[in-house]
Amino acid sequence: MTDATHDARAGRLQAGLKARYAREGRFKLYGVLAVCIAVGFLLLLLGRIVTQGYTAFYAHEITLPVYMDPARIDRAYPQGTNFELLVAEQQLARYGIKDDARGTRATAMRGLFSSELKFRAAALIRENPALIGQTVTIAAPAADESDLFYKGEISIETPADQRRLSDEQIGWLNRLKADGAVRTHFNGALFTNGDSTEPELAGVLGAVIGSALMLLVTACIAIPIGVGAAVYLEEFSARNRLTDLIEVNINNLAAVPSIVYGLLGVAVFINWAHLPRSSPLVGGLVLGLMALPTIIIATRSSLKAVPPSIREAALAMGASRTQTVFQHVLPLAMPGVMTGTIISMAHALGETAPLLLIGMVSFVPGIPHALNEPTGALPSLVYIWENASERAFHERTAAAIMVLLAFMIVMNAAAIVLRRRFERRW
Amino acid sequence: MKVPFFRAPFKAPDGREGGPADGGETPVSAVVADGKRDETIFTHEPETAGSQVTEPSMSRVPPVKASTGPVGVTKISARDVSVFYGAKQALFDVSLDIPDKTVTAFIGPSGCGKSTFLRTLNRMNDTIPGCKVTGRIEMGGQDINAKSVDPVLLRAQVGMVFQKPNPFPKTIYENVAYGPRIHGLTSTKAELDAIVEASLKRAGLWDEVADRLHTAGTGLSGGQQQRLVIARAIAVEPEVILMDEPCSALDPIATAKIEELIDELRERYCIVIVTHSMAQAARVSQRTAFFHMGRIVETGDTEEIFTNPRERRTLDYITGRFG
Amino acid sequence: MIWIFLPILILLSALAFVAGGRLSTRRAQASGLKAHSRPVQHGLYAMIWVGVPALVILLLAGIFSGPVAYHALAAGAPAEVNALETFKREAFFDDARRVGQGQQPQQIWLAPLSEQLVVEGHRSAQVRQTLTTGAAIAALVAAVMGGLFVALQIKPALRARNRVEGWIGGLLFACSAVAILTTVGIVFSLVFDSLRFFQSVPVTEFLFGLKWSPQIAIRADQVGSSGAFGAVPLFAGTFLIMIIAMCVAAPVGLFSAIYLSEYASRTSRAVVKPVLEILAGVPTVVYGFFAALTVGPAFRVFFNTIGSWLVGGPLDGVGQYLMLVQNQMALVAGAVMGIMLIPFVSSLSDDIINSVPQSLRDGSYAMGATKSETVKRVLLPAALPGISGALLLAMSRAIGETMIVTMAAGLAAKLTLNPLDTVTTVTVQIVTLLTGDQEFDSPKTLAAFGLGLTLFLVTLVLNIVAQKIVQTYREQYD
Repeated sequence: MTDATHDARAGRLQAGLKARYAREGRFKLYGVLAVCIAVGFLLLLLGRIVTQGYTAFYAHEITLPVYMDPARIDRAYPQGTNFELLVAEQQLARYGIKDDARGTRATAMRGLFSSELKFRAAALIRENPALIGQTVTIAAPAADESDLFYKGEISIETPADQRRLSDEQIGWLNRLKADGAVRTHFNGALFTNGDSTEPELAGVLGAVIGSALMLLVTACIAIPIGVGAAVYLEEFSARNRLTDLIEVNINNLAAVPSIVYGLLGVAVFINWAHLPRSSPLVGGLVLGLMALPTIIIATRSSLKAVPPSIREAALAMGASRTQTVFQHVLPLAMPGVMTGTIISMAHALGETAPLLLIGMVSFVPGIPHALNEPTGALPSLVYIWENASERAFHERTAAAIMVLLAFMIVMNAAAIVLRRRFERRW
Repeated sequence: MKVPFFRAPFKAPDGREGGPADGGETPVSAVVADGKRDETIFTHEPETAGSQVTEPSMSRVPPVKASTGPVGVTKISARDVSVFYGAKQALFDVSLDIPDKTVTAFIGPSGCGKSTFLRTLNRMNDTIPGCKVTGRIEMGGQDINAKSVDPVLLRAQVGMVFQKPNPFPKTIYENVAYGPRIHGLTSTKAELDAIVEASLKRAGLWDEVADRLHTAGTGLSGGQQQRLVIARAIAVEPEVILMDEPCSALDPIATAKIEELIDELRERYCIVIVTHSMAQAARVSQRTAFFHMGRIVETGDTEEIFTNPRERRTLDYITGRFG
Repeated sequence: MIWIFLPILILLSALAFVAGGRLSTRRAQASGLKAHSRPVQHGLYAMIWVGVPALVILLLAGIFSGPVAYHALAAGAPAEVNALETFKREAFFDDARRVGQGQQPQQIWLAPLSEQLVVEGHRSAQVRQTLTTGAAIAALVAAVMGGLFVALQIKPALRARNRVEGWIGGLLFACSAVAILTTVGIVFSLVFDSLRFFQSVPVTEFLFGLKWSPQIAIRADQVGSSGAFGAVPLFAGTFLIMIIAMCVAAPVGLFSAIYLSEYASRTSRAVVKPVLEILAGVPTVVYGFFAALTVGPAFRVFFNTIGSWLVGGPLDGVGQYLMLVQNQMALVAGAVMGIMLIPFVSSLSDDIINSVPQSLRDGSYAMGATKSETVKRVLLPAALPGISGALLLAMSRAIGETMIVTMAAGLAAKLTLNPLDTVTTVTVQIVTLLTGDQEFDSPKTLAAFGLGLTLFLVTLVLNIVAQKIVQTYREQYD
């Protein structure tokens, strides 16, 4: 190459360089942007949930003096008394407000307190009938709208047609607060109660136990069958077309949408086998079938990772195939199997679509204690509460999500810790 | 054969330097451990006394066949180059001059650092995280490791051919056109076509693929793929071509073709070839450097290294005592 | 009821285990020969033969006692009961069962059914009692006979270990058969009920009809009782949301995979990868909540604001339209679904890009290419088949996703490709149809199965194609 062409070439090389490095910089920027978008979304999602949900963790309680008017309380049947009206009228009297003929004001005042009030009053009388004729102090949760008002979510500035509290009611709430009758406390009801149509009394315990029962059934089905199938496919079966077909089948089952499993549950478990709808039994069966392919795949790869030299050593000692697998290979593959299992269970915990189809859309109060009774589950509870019309359920839904995410984080963290501590690198 | 400007870093213990005095027949000789030369077994020269020790058979040394000719100006000059992978040192103060328009061969047993050193010449070690290169490698008057030198430009001047042919999964045309395209060396399609044709011709592949330029490059045979890769490297008009064991994955016929090609390319480019086959080094190169355990043991004209090495280790290696 | 015998069975099996082991030892000592198998294995053998037949009988009894009792009761039931239509009759016998068990009936029955309920209740209790006792006795007999059989067999020459291992192998095979059975079950249940659906609604109307309005008259004279089951609007809605989701997930997922595998330092990789795994682990119902309560209102406010700027100007029509968009835009559901898919696409692409051989990268760098040029011109084209497989899998996931669309998209089936419109998808309709009041045989609920079958087939095809592509791609580089 002559010097002239050499220089010309060098010139061309140099000329393009700046644009090339500009493109390189832009490309890298896109990559950084993409990662930031992904991380940002996660932070946004979690942040929104937390900011929406943390208010559900505290609630307001209103304490009132109640005169147990003997004229209105039936000694023989105290529960029959309309305590709510009683309290409302007394409170109106205390504020010196006259009611109209239809008692609309009393109704309005009543709406400020939870229906729990009447249960507490009746319980007091039942335990101690001597209280009739006396004035007792009763504390009861504020009704959901009042609670929201005290939390600042509803205010007098909101246009009147967009809130369920009238101006008058807001005035009363302010007076109650000024009188010192309002107390803030940790919303234990969220964790100790079952579902309720009244937001201030609604809790996640029923759903948590329902989910726990369901996961129990899922684990009992998916883990033995999944590990057994994987062991068979990996260690015992010949490599022929049938097992290839089974493997393709399992890979496809792992990718089938969860709602199809729900349809399977409805058609087979509920309509054909007449198992009870919305029970942890059916839910566990459906979720177990869903978790099965992932457990099989995870177990197979753990078994594959055990080097053949282990198997050969055992066989050379005269161990049978079964003994080799159960006494040597499977124990060594255990960490991987357990990690895969825990992650599958965590995944199953969050599945909602199949549960909706098998009937967990309905309102289920109380705490479940059997496998064949209708229960709720955490994810379906989130769905139900999200659809509810009361505004107070918004924050509680977010709180329920936080509970769900907490469980999932614990499970995933356990899986990761397990993997780090016990996994062997061959 | 006198090599006027080459600086031999190691002098033989008996003070000899350079090759044998006469330019004719090359007496093969052996250097005995105690410093005496024993030539009884190999040449017709009279036996010196006291040389009864068994010598490695020089008949195992491959005959030198490479065309001799004037070795060119120094193209690359390396001084005290060391390479570290993390804390582990792979090359220890390697100093070497590589002449232009010549084939220089790096020989040595596995793991001795020849490929590592080759990769420093086009800064491919930069792509390995944790790799550190110290020392000075001069090309065109500049230290290529300097911050001001752009590796992208450097690699347009120093091409590389790898052990296993690695054509891109593109057409033959696209493979050869890759380099000119990314470096912006052409502005019209006609120019690009001309470059592709010229490169393929120079690589000796044109006749075989001229009618299927737009078929996949991976559809060629192993030897053809390696020639395609060489054409790809040539297409950017480099000054140096580095070859890392280019024939080790090829059959003997393809190997012969590639070696023929290397001999042709020698007239235009500075070629450095790493090879574990001493026979190949003897066939193909004019200069040879022997690496051992991360250090250069001996450098010199190929003929000399293979007929009259100065170092005991070199002799042991080329006669097959180790490696 | 049957299951209370399970503890007895377990006890018997445990006894058999101990007895089998002792027996084998004793017989070996008596004969002076060395037993082939260890006592544990003889014990297991005994346990299997005592427990399994009895267990099978109990299982069969548990499964079939219901239908058998039903038929027995129906055979002897009074005429008025049998005259009831199927649904009501089943409910009657169900309540009879409850009454027989001492529970309250679930429905109110008018006379004369209410008296017959009590009678049938007693009969039901009796029938069930007979069945239960019969099953228990049969199981016990089977257990005893199994025990005798084993007692005869146990001797030193018995290869108990081999037999036990045979049973174990059979059990493991049965476990893997469950996987096949699951697929069979899915296909069978979907096909069976879809066929019933297609008896009322022809396949062509379903697949090509343009109107989806699945109201079936409860009474013939009820107004608003059109039953239009054309699923094309649903397919269009699913498709639209899937496209929007892929437009979000594909670039972000792909670029983040490229960045993580080619550019990122070890520390940033160690930080970002867990974050992506967390995103992948968040349940879809949470994304749905996020879409419904955060993204939906935010987008609506955004578009309404833009609309308010445009109103009165040259783009007045557009502005008016924008002011009327609702929370439940397809765009909202699609965007959030895209976010959900980002980690999925990212991890698959990461795998694919990492399996491109290093030699290609080396070849490109040695030519003097920059990193981005290597990625754009060598790596991505080389990885293209694998990445398209990954994208197909992501699309399949988007199509099958339920919760996000149920909570964020609407119910009105509209045939449109406008992302600002409210659309509904196949999965939303499946949920809606099956969570309403269920009268199972009406075309309305069976339509859910027709939709389910379509969904299953489409995702199956996508998955198979995707896996085939990725498999061929991997074979190329191994």
